[in-house]
Amino acid sequence: MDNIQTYKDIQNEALQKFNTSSWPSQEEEEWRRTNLSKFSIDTYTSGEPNPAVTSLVTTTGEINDYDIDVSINADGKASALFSPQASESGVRLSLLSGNELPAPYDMIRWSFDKMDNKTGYYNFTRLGNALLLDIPGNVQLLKPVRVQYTADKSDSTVLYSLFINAGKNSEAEIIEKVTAAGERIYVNSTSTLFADMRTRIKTAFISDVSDSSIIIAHRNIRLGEESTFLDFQNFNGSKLSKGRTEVDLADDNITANLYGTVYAEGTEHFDIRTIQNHHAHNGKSKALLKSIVKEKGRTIFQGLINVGEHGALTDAYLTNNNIILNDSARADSIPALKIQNNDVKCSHGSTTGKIDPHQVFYLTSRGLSHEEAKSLILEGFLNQVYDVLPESFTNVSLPLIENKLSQVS
Amino acid sequence: MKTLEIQNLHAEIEGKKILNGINLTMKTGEIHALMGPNGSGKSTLANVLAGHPDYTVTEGKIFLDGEDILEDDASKRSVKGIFLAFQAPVEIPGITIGKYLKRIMEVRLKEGERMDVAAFIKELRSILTMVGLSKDFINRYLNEGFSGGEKKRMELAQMILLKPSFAILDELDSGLDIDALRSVAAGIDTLRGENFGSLIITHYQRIMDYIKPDFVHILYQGKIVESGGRDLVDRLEETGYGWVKDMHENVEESDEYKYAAAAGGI
Repeated sequence: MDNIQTYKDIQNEALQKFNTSSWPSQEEEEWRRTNLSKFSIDTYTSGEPNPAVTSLVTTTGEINDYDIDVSINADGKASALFSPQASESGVRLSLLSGNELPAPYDMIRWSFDKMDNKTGYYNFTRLGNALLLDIPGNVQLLKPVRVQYTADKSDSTVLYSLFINAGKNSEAEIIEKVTAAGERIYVNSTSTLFADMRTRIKTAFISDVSDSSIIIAHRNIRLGEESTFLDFQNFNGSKLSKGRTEVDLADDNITANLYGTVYAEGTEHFDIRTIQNHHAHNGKSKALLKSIVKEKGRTIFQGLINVGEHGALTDAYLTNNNIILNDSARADSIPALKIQNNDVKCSHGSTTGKIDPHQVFYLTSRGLSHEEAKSLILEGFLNQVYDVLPESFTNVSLPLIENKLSQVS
Repeated sequence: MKTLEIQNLHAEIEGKKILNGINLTMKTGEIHALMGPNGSGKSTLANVLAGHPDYTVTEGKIFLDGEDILEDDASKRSVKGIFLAFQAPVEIPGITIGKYLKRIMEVRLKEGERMDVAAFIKELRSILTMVGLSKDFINRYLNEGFSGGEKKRMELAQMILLKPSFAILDELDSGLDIDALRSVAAGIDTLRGENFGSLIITHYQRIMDYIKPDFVHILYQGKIVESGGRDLVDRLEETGYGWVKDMHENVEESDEYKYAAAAGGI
């Protein structure tokens, strides 16, 4: 079976599942608080979906802040600029249909098998248009990799997929930024990371989507023995953002930290789910999600720590903190633990409240205006995440939130 | 020389009367100590002077150098030169001390004026050393995880940095060991002079072993009932507040006093 046939098998399977399934309904626990019919998902998906990438050109040249900088425009044309160092290191980027690299069947199959609903199957129906980033073993990229996708065609559905294969002992920071600048765009995205043993990978998924658009992002991560991993997700704008990040600590001695920030205003609806799967010994994981909710905005955080029977010595935490700026805003926090091994340390906690007036008075008594005091408190609230992120992640995400922080009244 | 003049100040919170007509005039160059039993209204006075929005002034005036500041919010009063050192400073996670202090200095710049950041950092390091905090505190989040003593030292550091005309120190000495108390006294001494006045609110006479007040006042049931010099402190030390209560039993009881008394605090 050749490589193209291999991924096409999964593509066909996905197409069949996509065609025979319905959009997730509120009867499914994960979707109980996000009614897709309320967001008129059928009207968004009435036409043919557009694959985000149809062609890819890679070049090598001097770039400042990144080792690889990938831009994908609305026409599906992707251009990737590699630094000479990245180019020499053997890192490759290709379309799955390009047949330049062997299709990583195991990774694609594993990621596809994680999908349990129509939104998850969707991207796999256009697997040939997925990007594959291959980082060979022992390669350490000193600067980040950035993948920027911009959709600006109004009334369109876009399927964006990225697969990252990180070889043994590799190291990289990878930022995906998805922008939907047009109106009524539905972006369905899937990102998959397969990291081998002793990898040190940091990933970020940052969206900036117009208020009439929808983004549903699936992120599947599998980590090998003795790996350390950091992830950050930050959704901005949109009518609906639904994110699902699932991390498998598949072998022993892995550390994974998941962070996220959300600022919901207007009638924005953000539904974030994280899953920390501990399948092996001595895994350490932490999830910390922070949201600020204003006006009629709504955030939902559903976190799960799932420790399997082989997950002895797991040390896992799950935290969600929300600040509500007015009475019509709403934040729901639904943490859960599923533990099948007795020798573990797991806990979760969540807080939801308004800005502490004692903090506001303290700052105003030192000369800050009421507005500036509140803005600084919110900045501090989010900084507890931003301060632990790589600078490159903060540099992309924080400007999207900063203006909103300064408009707190 | 500047003046802070409190005239017949009455204040309440959530309908409870706390201050019942306070009269006090302070000048820069003077250190005033304010003592009084629990529930007498000391912290309320501090908060009202600083412009805490939860307190309602029902009668009276506050003049800063002749200007009525009652309508000014806490921010404006601060920029005009009033500083409140908190009894229990709040923690503000996520904001480093360096960033915070830079910001509160920036709001004091006049239009077109720019901050000399290098000079600011140099001064800040020097102040932190003076108050007994390591330079590493610049990168720590504001008051987060600080011990009680470290929080008080940070209040003092801010006071020295901001150089207010009038500082109200609300039990800055409580919970401090002798070394920390000496640091606090030394910090106040660095500002002491013709451009600085202070109202030191305290329960204990020991801080006055280190900071010699020019005037001592006793607050009872929301009113200043005795004013004098160091001799008042000695008398309180010897006999407690019993004689104050006996002499001023007809002072209208503030609600705060009643609650404190009922709770056994007096």
